[in-house]
Amino acid sequence: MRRELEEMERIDLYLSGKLSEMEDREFERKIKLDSDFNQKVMFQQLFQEGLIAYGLKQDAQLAYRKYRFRKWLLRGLIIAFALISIFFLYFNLNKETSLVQFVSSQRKIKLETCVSDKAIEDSFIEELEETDTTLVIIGSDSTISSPEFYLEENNNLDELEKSSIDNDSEINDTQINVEPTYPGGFSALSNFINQNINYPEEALINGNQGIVYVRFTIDIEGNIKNTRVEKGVSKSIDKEALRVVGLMPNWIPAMVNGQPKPAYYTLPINFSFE
Amino acid sequence: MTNEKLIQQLKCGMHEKAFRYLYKNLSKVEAYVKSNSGTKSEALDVFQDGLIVLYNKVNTFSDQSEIKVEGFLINTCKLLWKNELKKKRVRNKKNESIVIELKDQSELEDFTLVELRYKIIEKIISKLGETCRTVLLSFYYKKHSLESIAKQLNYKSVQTAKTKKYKCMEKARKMAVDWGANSLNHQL
Repeated sequence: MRRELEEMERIDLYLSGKLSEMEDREFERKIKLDSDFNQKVMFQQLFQEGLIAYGLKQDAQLAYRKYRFRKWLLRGLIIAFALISIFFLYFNLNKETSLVQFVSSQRKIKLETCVSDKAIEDSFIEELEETDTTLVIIGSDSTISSPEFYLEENNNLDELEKSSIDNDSEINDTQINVEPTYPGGFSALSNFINQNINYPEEALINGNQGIVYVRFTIDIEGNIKNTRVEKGVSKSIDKEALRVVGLMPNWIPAMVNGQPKPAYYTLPINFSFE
Repeated sequence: MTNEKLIQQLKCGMHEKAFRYLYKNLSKVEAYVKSNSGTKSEALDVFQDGLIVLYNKVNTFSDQSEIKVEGFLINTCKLLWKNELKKKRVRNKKNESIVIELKDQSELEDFTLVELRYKIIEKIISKLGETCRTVLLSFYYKKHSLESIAKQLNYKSVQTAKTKKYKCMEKARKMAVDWGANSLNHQL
């Protein structure tokens, strides 16, 4: 057994060219003389090469399996990603996450005695057409378009209001100082509305959209009172608009000649989706 | 992956990685084989043989920088398939004769490792036991040392591994003899 083991080892060395020159020559002589030995060497060479071919084939098959796996994994990931994106987009329709930037180039301050509701509506609409406002909507949800406000004779303030207005037969624009403002300004108001408003599901389902005009009074302390919908869109939308307006903190009241005055304000809130 | 990188991988023991990349060419070979009365699985066989021929070419000849790997592979596969079709025709005419097929194949000098005689060896190897296969492949294909083989198989000593290797080789030889593969030896 030992002899045969050593013989095989030597054949291995010969076939891999690791014998010295002299040993090589000796080996080749033996191959020529001994045909049995020749066969042994030949077989071992053949078998070694066959082993390499076998090993290579195994590697090729393994590589194929890995190639297939990677191909299908990649496809699976793409599909999963597509599904997740669709899911994500769908759920975002219900949420208010967008910002609205609003740039108004004109804001008119109008002083007017309140004669009748109709008169106000007419003038208000006229006002709206004149105002030049640019809306930059980021995202698809509610916006605030041009707000208007009026200093008005309020039921409770009849006397005071009437007198001051009557006395000033000529209304000078320079006398009107400050319109009522939301603390932080218009962009803060925008943000507040956007962060608190939720597009009502019912309206989404029914496809209701449009501008809700919410009117409210700002008294001399800045309290918001008498909120009501001047012009609405739908029940759920109007309700939502009123709710959010009701959440607002106190405003800075209107000032005329340095004196705080009650005023009312009509805030248009645009419910729209793309 | 560039041609150069592929050649490097094929030469430096990273051929499995190179193969993985090269499988993107399989669809071309499939198309060829299918349009020449072949099946998808025959195409895969041919492709894998092609990979072996490519490996051999890169590792044997000196100016490998001249080889365009992917082109060579596809051409080889086409030749192999043509060859296979020839063999099929011969087989249909007479009983399979090893001698004739060998003569055909020796004309294709690159194709040594996929010759029929190696297919016979392949059969023998697959009939050996799992341990024999592991020992023989580790030593002759992966070129591991006897020491590491002994470790891998938890043998008591290197000597045990040596003996096992010898016994496995002998077993294979006997199988070859039984299959009348002596005739193969004469062809060498």
